[in-house]
Amino acid sequence: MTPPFSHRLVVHLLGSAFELQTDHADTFADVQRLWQPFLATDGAAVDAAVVRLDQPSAPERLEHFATAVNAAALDAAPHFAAHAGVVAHAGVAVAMPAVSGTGKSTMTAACLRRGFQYVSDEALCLSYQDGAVVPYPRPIGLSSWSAKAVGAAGGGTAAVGESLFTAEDLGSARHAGLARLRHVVVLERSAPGGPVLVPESRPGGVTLLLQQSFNHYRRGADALRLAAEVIADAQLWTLRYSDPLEAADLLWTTFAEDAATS
Amino acid sequence: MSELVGPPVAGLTIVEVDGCFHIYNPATKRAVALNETASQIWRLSTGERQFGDVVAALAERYGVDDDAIAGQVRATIDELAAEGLYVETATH
Repeated sequence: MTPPFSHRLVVHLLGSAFELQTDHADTFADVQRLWQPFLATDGAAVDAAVVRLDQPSAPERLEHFATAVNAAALDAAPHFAAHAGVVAHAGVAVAMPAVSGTGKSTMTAACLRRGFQYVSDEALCLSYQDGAVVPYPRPIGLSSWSAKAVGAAGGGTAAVGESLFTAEDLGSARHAGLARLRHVVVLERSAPGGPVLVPESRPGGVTLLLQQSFNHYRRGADALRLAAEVIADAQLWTLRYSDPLEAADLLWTTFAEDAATS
Repeated sequence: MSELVGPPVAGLTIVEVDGCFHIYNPATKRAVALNETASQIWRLSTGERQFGDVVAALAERYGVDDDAIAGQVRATIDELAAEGLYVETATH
């Protein structure tokens, strides 16, 4: 009979429960810290999916946990979920929809360095009930290049090919309270030069959210209605930039005023 | 030959943002985004107008000759029909 794992904890992500099982105290502590917003307060959950972390190295164990729980949670999320980095300030949320590898985690981290609070570096989650932004503050994964670009080189907790950061690691915090989506920013890396923020027509935002959605196929008609509803209350932009921190400065000066008057 | 444009099939989910329609067809599980011109055509696709009437209405709106836009209108209507958004008739 296999002996029980010495360390266990349960996290709740977007309505799904996962039970970590490991014999590695370092990994247990890392997960506790990095997934702190999702820790179950009662320490147990019925129907939790078990994630065993017995990989040889600590970075591999963390990477496995991050990948396994993220994919499963987003697929089963009861909310509309689209691939995007999301930050907020004073109840005003800014989403940067993009596929992996296009700089959304880097821009999310840069925005945290410049005054925004953290919502997610992975998914814009919207309640089907009222369109409110549902926070999904998973650890922020930054490559060594990205960490350096946002002034966080050498920080974070090592995973495979990246380091994981909390909002606090980057000098920010999770956004507390209700947030409404007010700005959707399409990221476009450009030649060196100052960042430029260009307003775009809003109908394209509906298509963008649906194209980046993880789970709209589950509720096609509802997803379209919700995407149209939130875009009708938002502004669509293209951000052309080369330096993430300069770009984050521009977003902060442009959108923080909007938040103050909302 | 008469050719009515439309009507839309039942059960579509249609939303409008700044004058442009997005349409979800549960039969195909596809969402279609229409630009401003296609949205104008969709508005006229009630099943009560002939193709020539739709062309004439759009030509008047945009201040062009019927012949200048008839091909584009035809192509758009064919695309909407191919998406299964119109009730099938003998002319579609």
